[in-house]
Amino acid sequence: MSDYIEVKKLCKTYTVYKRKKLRREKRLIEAVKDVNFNVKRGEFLGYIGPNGAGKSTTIKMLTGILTPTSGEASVAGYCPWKHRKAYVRNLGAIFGQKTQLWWDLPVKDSYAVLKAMYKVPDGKFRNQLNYLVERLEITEFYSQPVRQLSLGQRMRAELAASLIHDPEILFLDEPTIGLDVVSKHGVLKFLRELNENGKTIFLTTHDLNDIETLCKEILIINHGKLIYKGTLSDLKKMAGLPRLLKIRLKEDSFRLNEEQKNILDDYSGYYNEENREITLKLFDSQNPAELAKILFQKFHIEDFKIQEPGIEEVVKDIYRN
Amino acid sequence: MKAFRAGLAISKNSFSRNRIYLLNHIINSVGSFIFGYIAVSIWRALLGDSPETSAMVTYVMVNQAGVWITMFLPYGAFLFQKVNDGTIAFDVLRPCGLIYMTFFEMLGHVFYNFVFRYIPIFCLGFLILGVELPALNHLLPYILSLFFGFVICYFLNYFVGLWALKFLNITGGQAIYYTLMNFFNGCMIPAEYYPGILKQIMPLTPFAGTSYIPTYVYLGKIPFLSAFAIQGFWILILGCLACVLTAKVQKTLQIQGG
Amino acid sequence: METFKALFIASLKSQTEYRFNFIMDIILSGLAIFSDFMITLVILSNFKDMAGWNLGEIALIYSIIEGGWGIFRLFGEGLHRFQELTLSGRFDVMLIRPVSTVKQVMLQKFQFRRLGVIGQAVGVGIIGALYADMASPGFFVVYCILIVLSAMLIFSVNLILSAIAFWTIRNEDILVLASYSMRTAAYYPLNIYADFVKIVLTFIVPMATAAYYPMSYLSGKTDSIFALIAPILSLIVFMPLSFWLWKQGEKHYSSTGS
Repeated sequence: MSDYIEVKKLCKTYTVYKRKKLRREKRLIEAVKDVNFNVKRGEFLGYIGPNGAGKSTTIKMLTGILTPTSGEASVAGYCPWKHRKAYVRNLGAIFGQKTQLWWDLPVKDSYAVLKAMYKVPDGKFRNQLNYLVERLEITEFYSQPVRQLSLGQRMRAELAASLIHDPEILFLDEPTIGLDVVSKHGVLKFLRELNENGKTIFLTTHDLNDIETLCKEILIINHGKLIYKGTLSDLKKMAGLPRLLKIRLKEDSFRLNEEQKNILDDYSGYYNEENREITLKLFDSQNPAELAKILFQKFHIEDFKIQEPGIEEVVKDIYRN
Repeated sequence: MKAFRAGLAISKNSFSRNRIYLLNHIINSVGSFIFGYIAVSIWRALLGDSPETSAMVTYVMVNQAGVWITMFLPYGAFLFQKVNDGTIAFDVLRPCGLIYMTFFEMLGHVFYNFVFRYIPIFCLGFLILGVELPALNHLLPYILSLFFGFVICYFLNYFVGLWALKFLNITGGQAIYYTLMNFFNGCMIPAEYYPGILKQIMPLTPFAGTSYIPTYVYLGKIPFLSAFAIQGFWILILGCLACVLTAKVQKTLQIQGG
Repeated sequence: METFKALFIASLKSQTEYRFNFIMDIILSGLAIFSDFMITLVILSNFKDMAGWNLGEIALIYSIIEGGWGIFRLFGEGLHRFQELTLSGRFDVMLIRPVSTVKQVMLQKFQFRRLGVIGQAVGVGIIGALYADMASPGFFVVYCILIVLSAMLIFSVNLILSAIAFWTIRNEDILVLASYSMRTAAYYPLNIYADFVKIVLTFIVPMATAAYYPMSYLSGKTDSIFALIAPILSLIVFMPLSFWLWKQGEKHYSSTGS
């Protein structure tokens, strides 16, 4: 075992009971099926998948909260669920809305309790706290009880709480949920900085734009199975989604004649009459310039643009297949 | 009847919301029965085997079943909880008043408690502890008196709710409510065992109107008219007070609700 | 210990921020519990004793149970509200920290207004000891030890009841059933109850071993030294049992991830 995180044949099966007329019935649900992957130290890994795909289950197993049905994992040389107590000293985690702060206490007192729990030495604690408070702009609500914080403030406070013991690896489950644009930008920037300073970060989020800005490597899971592991650019190439050519017609000529309709059919295009917008798919085999020439001859064009496929479309396409 | 249509809809809603937790309620009915059993054991130890004992067993068990209607309503009639989670805003927006809304909500709740707590506790008391059934001509007056007891209890809980709105903390109000109810409602002891002047004062308090008086109607130990007179008097007083206080807190309420 | 200190100081500071509210809460929550004893007081003003136990002795039983309960609620509020953690899934957070989960659950919250409960219990105990003519320095040492043992016993019982939530998610009702009703049952001399209840209170939810048995030794009703050390005996059994059950629950939790 040489990589920082190694996951081998990880499986998790839940038993659920469904009530029938006479007796209840047992059913097995395979939340995670035979998942394998490796992560290097210092990587920033994005973990995506639709709701109920097995994301949380995987994270819970990797943080030692859940014991898998079968399979192995090692993180920094520990098996999370077997060596839980030794392992978690070096772990920071955020689970969406499950707060790890003390609801009635001021933010700073939560940190003091956490310091004692993780036995952080005074000097190190002071440095780390100063860094976090300044970097995450916690000063303004440092002495307020947690229950009074806004969502954005609370998420920043949570992040600091997960970093007070300066862990090497961070598991972040939906750290940007419900944040406004400004706080989100701040949080993302901070995460990138952490990663540049050598922390390994494991991020799950619904917001694929977060992944696009932050992660070099991504994992995609669906129906409990890992369906992709690799870089984002490779993913886009692999998906082979066409670029899109979008054309807006001039106002005086928004009705298409037969010839124009034929052109659309030839290039499997689509016309939205309300917006006067034509969308054509541009495959790699086609020359955009030639196509443009034809279009400019046959249509009265007001505006046009070429759109790269976003991660959103790529991922949607992958889920579908 | 028309005026009550909306109210009954509210009650029905609050009744069905409770049904999800039926199993939990069965468990705490058993707990409640144990409380009754403790009281019964105490009186049996004190009075020995006398006819007085069997009347006392009936007295404490009927009270114990009744507390789910005339003592343990949701804290502060749900008002505080609603302020905390912000749903009070919807209630303030509704065309009917706050008292009307909360009253019918509690009524639904209490009706549920009657079916799923009062009846089971009473039956356990009847089967295991030898609780006596009421004389037939006491039954209707008892039900009426129990309902009046609920109305008094509703107002008291409503005041606790208003206290919580005012001070943003329910502990104090709830503790005062519990202390006074516990000491004066006569759930464990009827008035004649109270020392000195309390003997005369206790039956006249609104708290006694929730447990002591209905159960004495059940046993036929109090003239029905004087029972209804005491309860009616308090409903009138507490009702007026509730209107005055509601008007006063309405302002704070709108701020917090918005 | 460091963690305990950090939380203790922080909670104390935050809860005493509004000094007037804090003091009112202490007094009122003490008073609410005291009203339970006032009922006993009123009852016993009519009778010489209850099954051979005089008012002072009963006050001492009450005081040991209630003192232990108050201490438990001061430090064990988190355990008492354990279902909030399983319901919200926040128990997950406890599993990613290098401290035992029992400790962390206990460290959720300290509730200083329970000082009122402890205060009234000790007050009742001291007056009871004087009244029963048992007050002596030696007695008060034993009395203090009994209160601490009672707190530990209540803690074990509650740990067992909380562990149930690992399987059922909700445990509030079973907690109320077993914890509240058995505690109230243990306020009074055990010999007023039926044999079945005596067995339950001695061996299954052993609240009677906290106060009734040692008090029967101390008040000279029995000479068996086992009665005096009953709380220690039941702790030897129940403490390991409760931790074992908690461990099983935790394992179950981490294999189902409820």
